[in-house]
Amino acid sequence: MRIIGIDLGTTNSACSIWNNGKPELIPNRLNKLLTPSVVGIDDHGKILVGEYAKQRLVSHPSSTTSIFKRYMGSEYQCHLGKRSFNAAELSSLILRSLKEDAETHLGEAITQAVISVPAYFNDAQRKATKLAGELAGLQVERLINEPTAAAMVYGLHKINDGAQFLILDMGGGTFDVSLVEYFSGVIEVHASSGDNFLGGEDFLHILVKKYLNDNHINGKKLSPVERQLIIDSINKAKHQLTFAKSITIENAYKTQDKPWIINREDFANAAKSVLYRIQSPIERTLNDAGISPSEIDEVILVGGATRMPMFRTLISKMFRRVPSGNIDPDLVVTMGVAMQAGLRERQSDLDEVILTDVCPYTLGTEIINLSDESGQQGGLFMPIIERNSIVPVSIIKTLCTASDNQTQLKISIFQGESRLVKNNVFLGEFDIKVPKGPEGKETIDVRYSYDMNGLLDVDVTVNSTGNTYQKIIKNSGTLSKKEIKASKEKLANLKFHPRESVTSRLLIARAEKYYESSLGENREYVGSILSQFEKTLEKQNVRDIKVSTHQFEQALDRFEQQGIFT
Amino acid sequence: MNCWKALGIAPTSDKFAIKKAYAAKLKHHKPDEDPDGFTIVHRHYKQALKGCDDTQNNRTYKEENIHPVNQLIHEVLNIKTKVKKKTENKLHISLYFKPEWLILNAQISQALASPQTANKKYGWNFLEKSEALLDLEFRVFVSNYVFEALLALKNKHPRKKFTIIRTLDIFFRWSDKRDILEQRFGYANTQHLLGKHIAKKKIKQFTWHRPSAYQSIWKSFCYFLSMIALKLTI
Repeated sequence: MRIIGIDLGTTNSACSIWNNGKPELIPNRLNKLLTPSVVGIDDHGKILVGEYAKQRLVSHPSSTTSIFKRYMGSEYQCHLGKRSFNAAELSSLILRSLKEDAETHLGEAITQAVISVPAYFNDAQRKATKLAGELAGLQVERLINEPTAAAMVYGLHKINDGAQFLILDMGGGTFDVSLVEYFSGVIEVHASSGDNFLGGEDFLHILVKKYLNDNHINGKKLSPVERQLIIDSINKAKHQLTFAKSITIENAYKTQDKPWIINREDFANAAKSVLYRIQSPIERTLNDAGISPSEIDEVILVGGATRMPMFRTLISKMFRRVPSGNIDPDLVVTMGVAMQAGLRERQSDLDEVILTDVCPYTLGTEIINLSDESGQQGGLFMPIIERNSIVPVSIIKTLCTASDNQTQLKISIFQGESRLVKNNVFLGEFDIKVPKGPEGKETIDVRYSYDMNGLLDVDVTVNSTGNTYQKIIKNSGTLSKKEIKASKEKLANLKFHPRESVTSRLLIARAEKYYESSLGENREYVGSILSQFEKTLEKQNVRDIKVSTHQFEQALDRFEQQGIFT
Repeated sequence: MNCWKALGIAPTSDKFAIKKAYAAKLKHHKPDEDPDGFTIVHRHYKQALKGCDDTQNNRTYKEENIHPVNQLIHEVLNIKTKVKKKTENKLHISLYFKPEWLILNAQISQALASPQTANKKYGWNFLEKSEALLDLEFRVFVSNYVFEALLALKNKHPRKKFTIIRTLDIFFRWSDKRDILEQRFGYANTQHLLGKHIAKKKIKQFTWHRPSAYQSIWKSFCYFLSMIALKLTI
């Protein structure tokens, strides 16, 4: 039984497996390594995933969705046509698509996977990711932190023995920092920190805002299609700015009267406030690891957003050196996940590799704040698992009753660094019954266990009675067994397009997008070749379809090269 | 010590030897397969490293005392600290001789001359413009310096309000690392300076933000109400 590795990203996902001593990336049905994390539903109620759905973001924005990883672990429901899904369900559709690709590629059924998550993902977000795996019919063998996965790849290929390196991972939606040391086959994460709401999408948002401002367009009056068209062309410009000094957008919206020119400096100035947010997590990581920037042997960049020139410039200034990113920043995490999958399979060529990771935030409980007479401060936070303790970790603290004849104790679980619980993130709570007695007589043992997946378990023992309570933390993001079952049924009823038709569907989606974004003659031309192609499809003659698919694709490619569509 | 026996080596201050022994032990206690064994090995490893750190610190301290050049630097630093009336001196020597620091230092002392000058926003504009402040090490150093100087100024003028703290907080991100500052300067001092009004920003991770379209409806509604109110008053 093989275990596959999946990098479930905000904008793109990828899948890989450990084969013959190296990670092998699995191409998807369109023979690409990256599958866009976009899900849509078509007019017949069938589910679309990946590139096809991404093309339809422009033509059918109300029935297509992206960037849902940001809502992992929240109650947010996304409406696709008449149906609604939560982030875990949407992610499971992506996972399912990747799983099918892997099954076709490997020629066997796959039921187990290792999935990557941002290091700074909290308990709810991790549980939602695990649930997404289950809903897709995958047993999640391990959740691995993205920077840690990247560290494994660099550790085995590029880094000298005994080196300390800092991994900066900025993807589409999240930013992570990890300080890693590598010696004699051991990859040890010393400290980790991050920001769950900082990534390439935020930079895109800034650029879109700048475009709207410069051209005096009221963003709130745009229709979804118009909005998506603008976002699409700005996104292209953002990518091109990595290589070109300045980019001109001729016409992305009807009221844009003159070409809009954006250069790197303007973009960097506009995005300054967002970009500089990377300073806090980096500072914190170095502070926790207790080392100075000059002691780091290498600064490694991971994730697509680190390609931005302004990011690289800032890092060089911060660390007084040029950062390295020799391995494709989009795929390095996927390779690392494959390695972890290989470790789980106990592949003999990975026998010498050992990976240790840390818990990136402090976990604790609420205790009574005696000095707070005015009632403004609220309860105090008592840390139980300190941040950056090595995992797995299990710590017991003893608490006692605070008043005479107390019969109940409330255990609230919090995550964060502040002294007061009100500034920390609430994870869950439960009530414990204790026998009556004088103040401080009854004691309970609270045990926090944080496992290698980054999932927290809390159990409490009342010392006098021996009763134990166990808390599997339930918060807004996690579902009960019944809800999971309902969710599974809902997903089982969905219809999917057969794998074979995907190429032609993608072409149609592309043509539809071009139809939306072009005007006049071009528009008519696209419309005519599109209807011609659809006619051929209806006849269901395999040979004809093959020929016309090829022609259709060439026509669209020609159009794209000529830059008729922006 | 117990940890040496557990790691299977003789007591040493060679960090690399400790790491090698730890790596060898880990091959038999992988965190995946034997979490309890791993926790114990890791504890011994940390203990050994800590012992090693302590002895090394002692040694370098002694060497520093003997070495004449270091003594000279110490004297220079002492004079500097006496002039600036700084009590704490844990700073890296190279930072003191950084030319940018001399300029920045002059600008900071100018801005912090009195509560009136400190509260003027444009008096701090030089921070935004300084390229040297992007350097991580230097930034932390300057941030701590400003924090301490501001604390001293506030203690001198306890009745004055320092509105500038908000601007500086955004620039140095003090709220984000409040716990680190508390560790360094003490809880009371940090509370005294940052106060309650800029308590650590709470990140709402479980709520879903309404799309801006709804907000605009709400805004226009508020605008409408205010217009009515305006007309009534007229």
